[in-house]
Amino acid sequence: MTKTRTIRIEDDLDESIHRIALKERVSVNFVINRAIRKFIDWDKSPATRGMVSVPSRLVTRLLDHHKPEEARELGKWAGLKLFIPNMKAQYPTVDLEAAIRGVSMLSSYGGRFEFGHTASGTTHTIMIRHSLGRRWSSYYAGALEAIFGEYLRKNVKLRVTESLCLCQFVE
Amino acid sequence: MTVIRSLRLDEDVDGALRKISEEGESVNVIANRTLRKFVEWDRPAEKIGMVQVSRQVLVKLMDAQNLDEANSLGAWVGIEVMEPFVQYLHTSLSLETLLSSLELLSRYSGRFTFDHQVTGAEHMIFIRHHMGIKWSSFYDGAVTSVLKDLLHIDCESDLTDEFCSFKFRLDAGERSE
Repeated sequence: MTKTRTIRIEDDLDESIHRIALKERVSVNFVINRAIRKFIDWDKSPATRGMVSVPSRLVTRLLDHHKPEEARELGKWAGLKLFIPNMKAQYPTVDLEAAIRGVSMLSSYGGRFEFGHTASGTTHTIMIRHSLGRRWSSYYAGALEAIFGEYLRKNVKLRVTESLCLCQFVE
Repeated sequence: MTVIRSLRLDEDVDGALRKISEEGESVNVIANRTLRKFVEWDRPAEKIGMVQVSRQVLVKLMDAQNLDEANSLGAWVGIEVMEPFVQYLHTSLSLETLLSSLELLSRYSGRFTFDHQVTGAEHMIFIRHHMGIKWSSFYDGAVTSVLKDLLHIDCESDLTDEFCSFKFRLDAGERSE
């Protein structure tokens, strides 16, 4: 369902949005909806408190300085001390559904990884795919272990490769 | 100048906008600010490979470096990341385009605030952040490398835990290429 709304847009901005729509072969309406949705889902969300933008190449170099087990510990810390409290600020209860939605949101707007989730019966598989190197796979393993294992008390199985972190558990 | 545009907004998006506008700003003001950020920052940032990371994670990551390493990492970012970033936004690197890019980063990246002041021939650049001395050393490396190595401008820097300042002189008519 949609609602029609009339707004006054500064003309330079209107031109820029037209150019983007033309380049991406989508409607102006689509571009505006996407921009405003991002503002609501991400910029205004309490779940993204403290997030800042950095070049991905710097992020890779920074974690390269750490051993894989340190990267995993840092991921655990971020999962428990940052992700869960931020999610609590957004949702009344941080259950499995909210946690999956939170990780998915980080993927959609954070730019760091692609996220996939499948459920077959009671078995859930969560996939994080990225291009930041193996240390970041360890970091994500730590974060997913903290969120789904320690916090949500699931018996998680983790698999880490250079560009992938897989987390599997039974509901 | 403005143009009037009739939009079809997804119902949940429209509802959320209306709710936010109850805090005091009109939907129009919020929509324009959001669209400007999208055009000026979100899209270019995505194109040049900016990602979102928690500030606290970045502080912990940088803590593993000593001050010299943080400075070298900054110098590397200045040459390898900052220069292409400025060129992507403005086609070429000059003092003006560097300052404009720092201003953009300051406005949207959430990492620091930036100011540039000119008194006669003396220029001062200020970067203020809340991420500790290692990040000051990082910014020192980044800004100094672009000024000295790429723009051939000698500068003096001064660092504290959350503050970096850079001082340099440009005589009248002197241009940075």
